[in-house]
Amino acid sequence: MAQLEIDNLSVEFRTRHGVVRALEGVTFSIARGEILGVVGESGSGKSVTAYTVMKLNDEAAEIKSGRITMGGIDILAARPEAMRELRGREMAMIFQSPRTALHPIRKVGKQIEDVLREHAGLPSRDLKQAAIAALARVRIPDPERRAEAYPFELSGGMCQRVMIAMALACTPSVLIADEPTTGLDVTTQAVIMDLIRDMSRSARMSTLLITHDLGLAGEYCDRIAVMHAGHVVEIAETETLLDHPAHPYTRQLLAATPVPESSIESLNSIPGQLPDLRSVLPPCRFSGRCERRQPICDEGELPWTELSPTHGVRCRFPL
Amino acid sequence: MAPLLEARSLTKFYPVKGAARGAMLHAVDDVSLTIAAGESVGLVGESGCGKSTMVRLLGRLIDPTTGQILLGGDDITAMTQARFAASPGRRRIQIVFQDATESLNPSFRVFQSIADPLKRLLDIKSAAEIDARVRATAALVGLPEELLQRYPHQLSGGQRARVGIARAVAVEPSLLILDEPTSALDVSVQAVILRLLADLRERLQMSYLFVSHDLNVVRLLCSRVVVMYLGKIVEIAPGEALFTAPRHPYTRALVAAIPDPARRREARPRLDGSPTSPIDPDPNACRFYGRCPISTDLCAKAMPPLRAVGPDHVAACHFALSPPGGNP
Repeated sequence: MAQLEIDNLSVEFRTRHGVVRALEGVTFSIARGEILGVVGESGSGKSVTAYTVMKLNDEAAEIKSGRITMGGIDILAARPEAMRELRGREMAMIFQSPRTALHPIRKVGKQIEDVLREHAGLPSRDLKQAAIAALARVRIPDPERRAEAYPFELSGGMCQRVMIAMALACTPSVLIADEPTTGLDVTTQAVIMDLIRDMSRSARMSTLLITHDLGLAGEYCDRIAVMHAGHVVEIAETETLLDHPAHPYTRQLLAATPVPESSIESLNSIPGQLPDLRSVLPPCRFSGRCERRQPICDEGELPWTELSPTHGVRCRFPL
Repeated sequence: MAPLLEARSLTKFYPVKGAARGAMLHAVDDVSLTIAAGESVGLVGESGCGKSTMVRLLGRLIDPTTGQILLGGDDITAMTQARFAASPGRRRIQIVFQDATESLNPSFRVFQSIADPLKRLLDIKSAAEIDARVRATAALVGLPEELLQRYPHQLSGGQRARVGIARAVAVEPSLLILDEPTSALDVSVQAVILRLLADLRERLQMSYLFVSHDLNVVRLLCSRVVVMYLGKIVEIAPGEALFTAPRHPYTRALVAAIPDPARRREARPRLDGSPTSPIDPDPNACRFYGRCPISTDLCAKAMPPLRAVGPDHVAACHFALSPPGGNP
């Protein structure tokens, strides 16, 4: 059974300028020890999905439908105190820009101790050693000394390791990593991503990796879900998605991503823009940008098509 | 043929506050490079390697500590940065900054943003001529005319990037310095902007210095790539050679770190740790010593100079041609 299951999740935001239909019918699951990548451009709903799973959404967010379960627990029905218990112990999140996510004027060792005290219920005398052990687990050299550092004294890559150490301190069963390496150097990115992968595997965590970088998702994820304008438009195993994309948007996104074999002529640009999520939207939110659009694309309900047990697509005319 | 731009032993040191008296941060240390007319050169390296200082030095936004920059044979470092800014040479080097959202004046309409350099640098007084030039430049970068009266906050990220480019190319520079021009953009928009840049270079016969952390993007746009590490150039090579046969161990680590789904099952060498301090580094040690996977005692005693290792290809490593222990 999947560790994390999201079923038919729809989320709207009430804003001064109208209702934003941020997510509609989002459905996917992550097994134990699996890394699922959620890929899409800005405004696709990647981060809203992550924040909804953690129940960290803004007040303006309204969950219109759907179910999220973690290890059988109904997240959306969980009371705030129960959620507080779950976050940190059972599910953890790594944020983009670690330096702003960490407490700026508390030593990093103390910040990890706070998590351990709150969620692992360790006695006070063991906290310091446990925090140092957590830093050592993410391969921070000289963890005793680094535990005494403030975030501003550490590099971006080091801060991200502290975030990971904190997230993993209580060995959660679900890890959500929201663009964990954006803003880091490519060499540091590789080290941090290797670490997340190794930790996910060894602790059998279900990992949700949110990224705009298809190349990164392709290297580290077992499966990839592609999002566009609040819909999951395709899910498949990584090789299948990269080699045989079925959704026109996935194919266009792949062709727009520079890879070593790309030439400037072969680089594809996707015509048009994301639809305004406040407007009345057609069943397929990509139809306005799609080269395969037919009149029927804008009518009735758009079915989810299973091309194989592990490959699904939200398109009437898959490739 | 003389190069368009030549940097000779450029150095930029900054005094360090609160450190020992006389302590200096070596942001750029004795860097020489050339850019030919019409050439597109990439500049890569991790944060803190001196890329941004190079952008500001070559863009003549700051004065070097020592060294010269020659543009078309003229020493443009003979006058101070402040005088250069008011000189006719200013229009010849223009910069497209990283984040157009932050680098555009928020209270300027698009029209003003593009007209401003025309007035300041080309000293055009006629309103009709400015109007004509702004419209021509907007058309050149694919900016619809109806956007000219908008403010930056009313534009999309891709449109703002076009304004940043339009403003820089309006004065027809010979060298355009692009500092991470697409890092804030989604891939679909990035693709459009990269194609625009490739097209503009051809049409306007400009040279590019393209600074980016995305090596796949550098590979697309640049015929030659310069790699920096801790204020020094460690390798310069033609694009293909750099990506397929890098000679410096740092470049190798950099290339190996590019995410590549095709190699997901392979264990690749990883470069861990962080660079040594840029404050008064040992002048007699390789800057990569301590982090380098193949270093020997020699590397702690002698700074390797840039040496030819192939056609148009130089690297600063004692072991660029043969591994340690092998035949020299």
